[in-house]
Amino acid sequence: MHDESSPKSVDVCLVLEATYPYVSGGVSVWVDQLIKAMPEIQFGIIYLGGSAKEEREMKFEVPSNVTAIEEINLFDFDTPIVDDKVVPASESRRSVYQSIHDFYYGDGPYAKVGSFWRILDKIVANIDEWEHNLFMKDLEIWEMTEKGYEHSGGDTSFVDFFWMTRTMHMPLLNLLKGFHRIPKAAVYHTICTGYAGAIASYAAQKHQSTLVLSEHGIYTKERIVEIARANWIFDERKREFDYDVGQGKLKRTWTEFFKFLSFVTYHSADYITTLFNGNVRIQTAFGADQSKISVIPNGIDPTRFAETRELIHERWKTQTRGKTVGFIGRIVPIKDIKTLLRAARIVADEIEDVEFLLAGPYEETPDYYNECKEMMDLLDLHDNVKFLGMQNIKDLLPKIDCIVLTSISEGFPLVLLEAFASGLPAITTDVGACREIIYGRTEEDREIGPAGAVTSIMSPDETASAITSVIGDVDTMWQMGESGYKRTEKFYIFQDVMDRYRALYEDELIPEMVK
Amino acid sequence: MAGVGFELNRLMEQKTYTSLLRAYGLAGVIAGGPWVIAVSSLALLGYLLERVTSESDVRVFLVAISVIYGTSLVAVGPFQLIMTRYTSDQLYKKETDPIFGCFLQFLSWGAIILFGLGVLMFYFFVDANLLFRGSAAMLFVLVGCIWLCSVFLSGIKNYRELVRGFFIGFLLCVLCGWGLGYLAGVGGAMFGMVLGHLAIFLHLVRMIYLETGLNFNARFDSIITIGKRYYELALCGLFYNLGIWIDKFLFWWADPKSVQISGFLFSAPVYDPVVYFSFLSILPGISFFLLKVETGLVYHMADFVDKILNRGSLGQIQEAKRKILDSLTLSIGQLIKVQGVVTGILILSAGNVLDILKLNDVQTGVFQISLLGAFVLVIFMALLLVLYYMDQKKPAMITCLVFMLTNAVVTLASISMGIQYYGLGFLCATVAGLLVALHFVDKNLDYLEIQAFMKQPI
Repeated sequence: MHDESSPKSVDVCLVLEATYPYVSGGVSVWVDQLIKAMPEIQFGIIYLGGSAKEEREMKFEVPSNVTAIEEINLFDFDTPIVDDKVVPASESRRSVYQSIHDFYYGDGPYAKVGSFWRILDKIVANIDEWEHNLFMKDLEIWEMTEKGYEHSGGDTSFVDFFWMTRTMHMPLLNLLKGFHRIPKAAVYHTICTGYAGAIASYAAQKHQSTLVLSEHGIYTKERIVEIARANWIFDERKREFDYDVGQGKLKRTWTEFFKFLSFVTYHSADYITTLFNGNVRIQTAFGADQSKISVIPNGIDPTRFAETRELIHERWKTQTRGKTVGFIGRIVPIKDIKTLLRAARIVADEIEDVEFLLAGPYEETPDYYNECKEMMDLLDLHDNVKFLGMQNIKDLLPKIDCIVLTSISEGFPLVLLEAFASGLPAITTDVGACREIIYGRTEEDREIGPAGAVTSIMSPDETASAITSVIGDVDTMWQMGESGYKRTEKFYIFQDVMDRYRALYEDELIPEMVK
Repeated sequence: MAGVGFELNRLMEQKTYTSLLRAYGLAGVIAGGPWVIAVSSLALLGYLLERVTSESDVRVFLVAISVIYGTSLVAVGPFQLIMTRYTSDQLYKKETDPIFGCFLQFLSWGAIILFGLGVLMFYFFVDANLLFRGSAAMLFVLVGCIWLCSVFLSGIKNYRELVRGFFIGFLLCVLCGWGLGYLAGVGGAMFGMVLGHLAIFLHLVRMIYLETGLNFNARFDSIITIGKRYYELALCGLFYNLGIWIDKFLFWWADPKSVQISGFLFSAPVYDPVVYFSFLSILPGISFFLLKVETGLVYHMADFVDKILNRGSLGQIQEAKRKILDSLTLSIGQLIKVQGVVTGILILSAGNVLDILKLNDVQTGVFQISLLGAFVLVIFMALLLVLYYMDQKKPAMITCLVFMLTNAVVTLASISMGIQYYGLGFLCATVAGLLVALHFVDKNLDYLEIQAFMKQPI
């Protein structure tokens, strides 16, 4: 038996899937800030990774108030080849398989959550018996696979169905095998639904702790998009047709599976937070109770940019219009740099001395970077566009008149708050939280006025005309920049944001707009 | 490796009686392999030698030859199946480059072991002149190597060339044996056999080389690695070949009524001829087995695998499984009919056959029992093959072990029970082996798709 007393106790246990501290990105930065902002709280971290074989390098210096880090690998399976026959399982496992059967063919989602917990309880109680190679031995697993297959119509590729059921369920077994390593905590805070959400929910339920779910992107939606695009999931309709009408049966099964894992998390969470209003609708659609959801945006400390703001204002006093447009972000396809370049061409035709400074790392997708450089040549933009690579933001911002994003997808881009804190206007595509950040999220917020403009995605014309109108006149720039600054001071102060998370940890919800 | 079976099926598609007969004839020659031509040419050589040397010398010669054939098969038995398996695996993976190199590896190790055993047996334990003993030891090595080559026989598509080589080789055996026997007695005759078998061996190696090609750069696993991987198959080969021969060995070395010919060479005049002839009687069955049973099995197994890999529905996969079963039932049924007629006629006319063959020492009942045993052997072989194809190594090993042990135990019992029970050991062994194999085949066919899926490594 596992030693029940071995896992450490912490105040808050963060359950993180493929992010902090091993993967860099917006969510990881946010986690880093959260931990550092609350030095009085002891954090534990459960990191869910794919495989121990992945190269895993700390991208952050983990602060001393993190007292436990445990890793669970979802896709590492210890399966010595077994020569044994496929035979009926032991009594205790048979009862679990019966429960799983009832789970799949039983009642609606709410009843399912209950039977889901019962299944996990039974498995955890006998975890030593649950080896991975049961998937090669237990006849009941075959029978359930067969039944599931018949249930789905019995006409799709069986080898793909078989592997799908294995691939879906085996990570869950890994979570349960690692369950005894999850620290006991007063609060479990998961940053996504899915596998992480499910195990965080189970831990909170087991230890009667508070469960907080903070979603930046919507996991279920991302998975569904990924599944729809996936080539590795066989789609029987592609046997004959080239085009895709809805989803094939296997894809639907995958989707249902992730939807359930998300539902479990939404259902179990005491508090659900997200970064902007747009996400609330999606969470509700996937089964979250709206009364549990509150919007907690990202925050920034504007005093850090006070000097930058002064420098910019000094410069603007000598100008009648702007001429420098800044892009700050990774040079990757999702940021749609190509649309930005096309827009640059259009702007340059009108404002000859306009300058686009593109700052950010390009090592992630070198091919895309090269394509962008070629496009720059093709559009004859040598005099107007510069790829700067990584830059110190405080050195860069004073040279800029306006920030532009043409991303086809975003969550809550922090660069907008940095621009606002420096008194700069911003032009972004209508993705993620961008509209709410530029125009305001609530009535009170909107009254401050627009801090820039929002455009359609993949629309160089719209982006170009927004740029021309914003930088065409220094007063517009100044006015929009100041609206952004006011908005930031009022709604996006880092300390306020952190206070709201801290309150959740203390099990009290600070109502929105308390300030 | 059912290559030749498919090739012969193509011949049969011409749908004339002569082509049909030719296909069965060729299959018979290939399936019987060295065995058939050997027995008949040996009979001829014995007849010729009796004219140039003494009758007792000829008897030493013939007994030595049969012991060589029997013991060398048992000696290389463990190698045969693992070599077959290794080659099929390589063919399946479409990595054929290392096959010939690996074959040479097996051949070298086989030759070393055979040489040690051959010298031990024939040099030290036979009372004859040096030429005879040395030649016998060499023949032992060569025949063993030919057994190893014979693994590839059914995979060689140019069966005409193959058969021609066998024919010429045994013609050489007869001519050299006769000529050298005339010059130097049975020692010379034995050396003549060595020359003839050397020709056959070289011809086979050449045929295998032409079929597989040679790549010196291809890397292959060592015999130890392959042996460890397939040790159950090695034991299958050992048990099976020992099971085929152990009744003969016991009649030579454990029956007080056997006749010592020279050193460890014994003969059992009441049993040996029966065995050789009853083995010849199953040639039609073996031909049919090669033509229909094995090819049908390979074809339907491949279809089953194809349905899985090419994303068939579970219904289609299970349908393919049923077809394996149907084809097996049908072809084994036909096998029983074909061989049943031949064996039936021989059993009914056993007395007359013995008269014609001038085998006056043999009891008609023993002959009938042996014929029946050989008949069951054909069906047993078919089911054993099914187990190999289903990759049921351990069940196959148990089956072969049961076959061998039953033969040993019942044969020993029959020796003490009296001459009229001779042959019962082999019959009981084939029946026992058949039943055990049937049990395993039946059990595994039910689970075929379950095993195929669940055993996929994660």
